[in-house]
Amino acid sequence: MGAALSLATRAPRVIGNPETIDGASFITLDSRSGLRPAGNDKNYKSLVGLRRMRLMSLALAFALLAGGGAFAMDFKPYGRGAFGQLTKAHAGRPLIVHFWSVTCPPCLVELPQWAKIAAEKKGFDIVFVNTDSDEDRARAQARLEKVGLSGADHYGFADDFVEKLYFEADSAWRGELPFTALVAPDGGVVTVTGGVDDPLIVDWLHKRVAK
Amino acid sequence: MKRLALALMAFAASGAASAEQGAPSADAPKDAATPTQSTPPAAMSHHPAAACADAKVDCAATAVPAFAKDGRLWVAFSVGKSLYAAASSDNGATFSAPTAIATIGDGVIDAHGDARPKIIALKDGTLLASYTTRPDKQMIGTIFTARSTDGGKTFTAPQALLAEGGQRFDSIVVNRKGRIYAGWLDKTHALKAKAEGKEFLGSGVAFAYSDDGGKTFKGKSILIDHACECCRMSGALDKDGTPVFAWRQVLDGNVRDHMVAKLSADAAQATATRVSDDDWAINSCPHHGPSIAIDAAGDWHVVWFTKGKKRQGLYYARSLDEGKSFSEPEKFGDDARAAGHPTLVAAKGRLYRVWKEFDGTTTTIAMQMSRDNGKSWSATRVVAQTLDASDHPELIAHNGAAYLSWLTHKEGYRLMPLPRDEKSAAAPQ
Repeated sequence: MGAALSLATRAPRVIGNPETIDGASFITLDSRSGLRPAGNDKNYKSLVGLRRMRLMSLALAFALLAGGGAFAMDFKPYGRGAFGQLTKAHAGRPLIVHFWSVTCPPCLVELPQWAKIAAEKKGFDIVFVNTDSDEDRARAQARLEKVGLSGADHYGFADDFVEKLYFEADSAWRGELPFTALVAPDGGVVTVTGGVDDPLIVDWLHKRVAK
Repeated sequence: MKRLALALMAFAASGAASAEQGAPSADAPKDAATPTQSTPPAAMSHHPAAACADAKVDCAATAVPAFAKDGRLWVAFSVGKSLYAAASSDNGATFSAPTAIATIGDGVIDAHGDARPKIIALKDGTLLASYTTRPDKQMIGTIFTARSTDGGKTFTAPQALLAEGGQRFDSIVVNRKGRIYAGWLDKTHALKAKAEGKEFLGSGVAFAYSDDGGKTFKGKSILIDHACECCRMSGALDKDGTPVFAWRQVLDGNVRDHMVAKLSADAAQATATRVSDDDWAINSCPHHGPSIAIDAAGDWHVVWFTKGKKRQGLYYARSLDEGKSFSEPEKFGDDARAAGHPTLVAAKGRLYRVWKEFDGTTTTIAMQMSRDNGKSWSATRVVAQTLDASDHPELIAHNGAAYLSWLTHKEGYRLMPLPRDEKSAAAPQ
């Protein structure tokens, strides 16, 4: 899946246009060459203004590469508007959006069960959202790898305005975890605070499997 | 603060600048420099520093205040892998250059939501900072303390409260004689049980005390087991000079309701009682701890969040008999605005409670005050708001006045005096 969700940030004054940044996260390796002046200095400088955003994009890619192994797994940025974009992108198919954190022991205990659900799923989509900040992402990756979930569809909170991110999934959610949104094909959302063994989740899965 | 996006922008900015100079090899972003420069650039790229990576409180995610004897306001905060304290002589409007207390090599400093570096000011002018680090590989913490006896110019090398096990969510209370009590959530019993293949819910509740201004802590012991391990503890000083702590407990049936315990003077005994039977049976991490305050009359006041079978939202209860019994929980805050993260403070015959609300766009700090020890509360008044990311609200009392301490992304750090009388507290918003 190539398109990232809106990389909204907690500092619009720095970031500017989220759409531009969106693309930037997925610049490919060979774009690095773009960091080097191609022609003479004068020509190059005249291009700087026009290509400023692109250069920044390339630098982003460069930064990602410099990050190396820590970000080998693709945690797509989950920012403002992400929940709506996710449900839109999966419209017409049942979707589970599962939020979890490495600072949440119950989340970690049940990750293997989520791995099993993800491996055996039929007829519905599942997306995992890690709510930790970037400092904990390597730890999150290790946890996912351990339970065999590294190949799943992963997002990571990329915005400190967490109240907004919570609100968009459920206006009553204060951030308790694990938290799961069960999204119907028509976009209707039922949310569950607590474990994978919650009757709402069990029933939802049962219905999907029965079909 | 600390998000990948911002960090990448920091790299992008420096990368673009490098390109303009025809020097593609990216320098480490200058604004991400740590005071000791002990973190190599390679490690930094694994844990990118935020674009706002200056050593100032406005770049932090959490800020905890303390008033020193000389009237200066100190805040403890972390930026990236460094912990700082900074002082303000104008109640938070401006801060002096911060003092770096520690820079960690690997792992993270716990500074998010309920977990936060703290600072307390002792009567003799000593400052005691505390913070928790978590290593890269394991999900356990170590609590460190560092002291300053020169007015915050320098701090001692940080000392681990305990070298093994796992500790988080410290809460420190100082009595009038200068004895420092520390409470924290301790994973030692849980780790032991895990090693033995046994089930163990939550963390232990541990305590210790110090009579030498925080140089050493004595009597470290886990007195109660099965606290909810991802919610903060809160502490307050009782009338008799012993501390009382409140936390979320994991009770039978995975019920995560609140407990309080008064500690004996030697920190060796604690009697825990339940604040409220909310019946929140949930195998989850609320990340949402309680707050306790004790007024001059010795009445205990507790606020908390629950999503229990019996009640949901923010609640308040008080105990007039040192925790033996609590009043019927009283609801406050607007559920339709996701009311959360309540906290309390007592200041000169007044009691204040504040909490966060969010309507999808604006985060507000709502406040109520009580002049009759919590029997009745003023109308709710919004005392601050913001349109972007924000820290939990903190309350602090100093010289009989109460203040809201709040760090927000757009406005930066703010210390706001709360109204002293019912009339202004109930004034229209």
